[in-house]
Amino acid sequence: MNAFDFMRYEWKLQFSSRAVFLVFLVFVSTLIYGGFAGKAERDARNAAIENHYRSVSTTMDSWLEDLRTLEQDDGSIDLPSLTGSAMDVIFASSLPQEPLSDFSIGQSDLLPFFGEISLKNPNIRLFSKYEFADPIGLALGNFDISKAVLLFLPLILIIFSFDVTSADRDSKRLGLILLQGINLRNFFWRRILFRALIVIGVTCASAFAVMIYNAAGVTSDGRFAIFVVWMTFVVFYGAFWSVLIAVIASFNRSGEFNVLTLLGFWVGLTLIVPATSSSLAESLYPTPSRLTYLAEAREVENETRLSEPDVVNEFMLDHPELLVDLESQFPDYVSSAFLVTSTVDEATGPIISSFEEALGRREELLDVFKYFSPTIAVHSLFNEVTGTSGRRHNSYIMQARAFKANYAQLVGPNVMGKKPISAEFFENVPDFGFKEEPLGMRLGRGLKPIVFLLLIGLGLTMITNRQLMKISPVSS
Amino acid sequence: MNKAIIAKEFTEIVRDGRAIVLFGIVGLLLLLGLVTGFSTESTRSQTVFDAKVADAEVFNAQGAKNPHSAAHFSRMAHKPVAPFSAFDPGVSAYVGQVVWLEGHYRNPAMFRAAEDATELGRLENFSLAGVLILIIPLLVILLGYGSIAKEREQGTLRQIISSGTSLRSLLLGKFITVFSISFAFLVFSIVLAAVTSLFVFEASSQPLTDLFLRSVSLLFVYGLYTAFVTATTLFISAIVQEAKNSLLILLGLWTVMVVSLPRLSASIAEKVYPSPQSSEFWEAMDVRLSENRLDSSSAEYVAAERVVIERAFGKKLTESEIENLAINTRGVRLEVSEVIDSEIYTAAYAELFKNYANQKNFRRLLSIFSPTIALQHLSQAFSGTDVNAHEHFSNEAERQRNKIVRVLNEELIINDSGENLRYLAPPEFWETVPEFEYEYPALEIAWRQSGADFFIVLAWALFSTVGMFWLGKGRLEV
Repeated sequence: MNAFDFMRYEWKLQFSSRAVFLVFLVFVSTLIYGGFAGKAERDARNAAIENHYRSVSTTMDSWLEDLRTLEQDDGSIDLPSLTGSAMDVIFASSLPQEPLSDFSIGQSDLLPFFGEISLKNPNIRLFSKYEFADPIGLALGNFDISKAVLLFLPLILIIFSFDVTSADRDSKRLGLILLQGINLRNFFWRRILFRALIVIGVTCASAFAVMIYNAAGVTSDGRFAIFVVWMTFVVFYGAFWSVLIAVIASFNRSGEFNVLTLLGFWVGLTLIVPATSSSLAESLYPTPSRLTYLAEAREVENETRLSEPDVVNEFMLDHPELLVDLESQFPDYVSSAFLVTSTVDEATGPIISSFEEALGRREELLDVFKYFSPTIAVHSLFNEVTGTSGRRHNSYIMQARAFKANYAQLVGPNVMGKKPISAEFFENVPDFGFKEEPLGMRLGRGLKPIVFLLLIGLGLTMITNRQLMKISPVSS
Repeated sequence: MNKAIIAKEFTEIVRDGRAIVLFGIVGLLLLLGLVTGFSTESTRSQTVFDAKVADAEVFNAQGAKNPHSAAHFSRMAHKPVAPFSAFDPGVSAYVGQVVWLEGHYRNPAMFRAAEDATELGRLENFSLAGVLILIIPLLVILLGYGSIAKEREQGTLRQIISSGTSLRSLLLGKFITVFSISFAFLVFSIVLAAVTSLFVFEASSQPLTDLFLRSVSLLFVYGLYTAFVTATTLFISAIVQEAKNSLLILLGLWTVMVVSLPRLSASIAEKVYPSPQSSEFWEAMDVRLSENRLDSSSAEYVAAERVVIERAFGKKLTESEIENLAINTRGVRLEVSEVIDSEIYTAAYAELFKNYANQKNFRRLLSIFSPTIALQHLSQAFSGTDVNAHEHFSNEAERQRNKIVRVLNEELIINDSGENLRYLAPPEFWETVPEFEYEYPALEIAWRQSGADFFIVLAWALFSTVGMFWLGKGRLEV
């Protein structure tokens, strides 16, 4: 039997079962749907970001116009009393969408990806009033092509390959095949390879089609390169599962045994290990409760208001250069609000630090679990390459807080001195820009477990070969 | 005859070491789910309790303060832990835990617990309900896929039938065996969850009967679902020639109906009825609020003003009495705008929740392909962790906001005569502001809202059981 005949035979064997064909069709449809769902989410995020920048820009243009009028004013124009107040300045901020963000929704549907930065809001309310997404959709996890690959690619591989030899064994044909002098190892691996190639190949082809189709309307810089990286992980994931299937199949047990064992591995590696490791990480390293954070912030807010004169004195002592404009039109509540937000942010800083520390420890613990489950390792890498990881979103939130703190430091004396800032000063304040961690570094974190799992795969291949050598026409 | 069949089936299962290992794994997973649920919910319950106490203390310790400033500071409405959330947390981690009852604004509930969780946790719901929904069908499949097919493969099916046992009796015996084992796991999980909830709710006023009725309701619907899975498994096992094929088909069905469709249905529902982006929501709200503002000289505004003043003084007043009152007009204006804006907020939030309801109806439509979707709705509803329960909390919080802001505005109206000095309410005034006491909606409401889901699960259970017995009426190839 030449290679072509072999492939034709295998193809016929696989797709002659209507049930298998149907399941395969469902899988491909799931991949395509995942691609479309991811695109819809990404487009919605992009539209929201665009809308946010437009809205902030309109507000600030009007604010700047008033300020310019004030600067040229001879007292004849009636302007709002707060014209030029640094407290009224709002900055647009967003987490830029990565070129392949349609491939994995990750945490982007749950965590903030845009928001106004303003001195009026303490850190605890910096991103607020955004929780409108469908809770059921969030609870079940929005569907995308990466999720389809993570959950269903192993199942399809199992359905296609579990009976690589057991079908012949169960129907008592294996002994006859071996008696014909066929090299079992070659026969076995050719079958595994061919079947894996069909499934992984169709997965990659579907993903490629999705990548091309979804590219419309977005910047394609680096999209293809990132897609290649994403696809490499898909191939790794598929290959790992194929080797796992091979090792189980090489024990030459019944088809039922193979299916049940592999199903056990699937439930364990894709559902139980991720869920337990996540629960364990959350139990061992709990983040401070946001309710506690809120209670603390409110307590400090109250205390600051009650002891405002002392806080003002302290600020004045820290800024001896400060001169308060006694003629100012700015009401007292403006500087009072500034003091309160600054004090609350400062006082709740340790809570945020311990929150970040807990997140860091959790990440460290979960990094260990990546060695136990390819799903955890690949899931994390999918989110990293598509820029939708929780880590990237948290980094955005931290950068927004830092930007606000810097701006507060810059304009604090003006606010407390009840003076407007100048238009020139405003124009020189840099806009918020997200500082991206290089892709190489993001990937670097997840590569060690992949290398480890590759080595495991290699070990499993060797075990498979040894097991195959034990199969003889008599034993089968 | 049935007794003999059941006894034989049980003996076979007990003797099969693999089944015992399987029970051990399922039991362990359920325990893990329970421990995780208990640990999360009891911590959350304690945190909510502490936060409520802290919030009251801070509010009452404001000292002398202008009531309008206090309306901006205001109170927080904390959402208590739901009655059965240790069993099924539902959407509780994906909706906010606390509402800021601020003057002028109806805020959404903020701080979704899921935002602090790991991203890995979103791959699978590891609560007790999540494990039951995922694993119980698998357990039934593994116990039942070969029930008939293996008997046929081994030639024992023909022997059994020729010994005078009817196919129907055989199916019934196997059905009772597989169903009762799975049901035992359900009872074990739900009873443990109920006991756990008693600990979580030690400090709350959740009545014991409510907890009992919720347990029974959950047991009932999960039981129906298990009946459906058992009947379907036996049906497939009966019509397929080989046990291996029966297993493959059943696993395919499990993948589609239990793993894929619930996820896909949520995703498709969100695409068909998209939830608003926050910026869109608030922009639309601003437009509606400004369009609804009344001219202060309009008859409608004057009427609203009159209502506000009379309410503040707790009696009907004549035109001249109002004119002669020493009241703070700013306070009146603030309260009138609260009354007018409140209608807009109520309408906008009703639309938001209507959209969630549309999404739910759409998912319900897709449950004609998978009863798992309807079961998830029922499980969350009876656990008090569905979107309807959140809507109830959100509306109650808004009612509380209106109450608090009104008390503060009336304090301003009555006591601030509008002189130059800004009125400061005395420090002891804050304790007169009513506390937010929230009680979860009764189980009866959950049943009323989940009628359609219940009938879907019931229909699936009936349809599959009838189908299985229909086969037993001699339509089966032996």
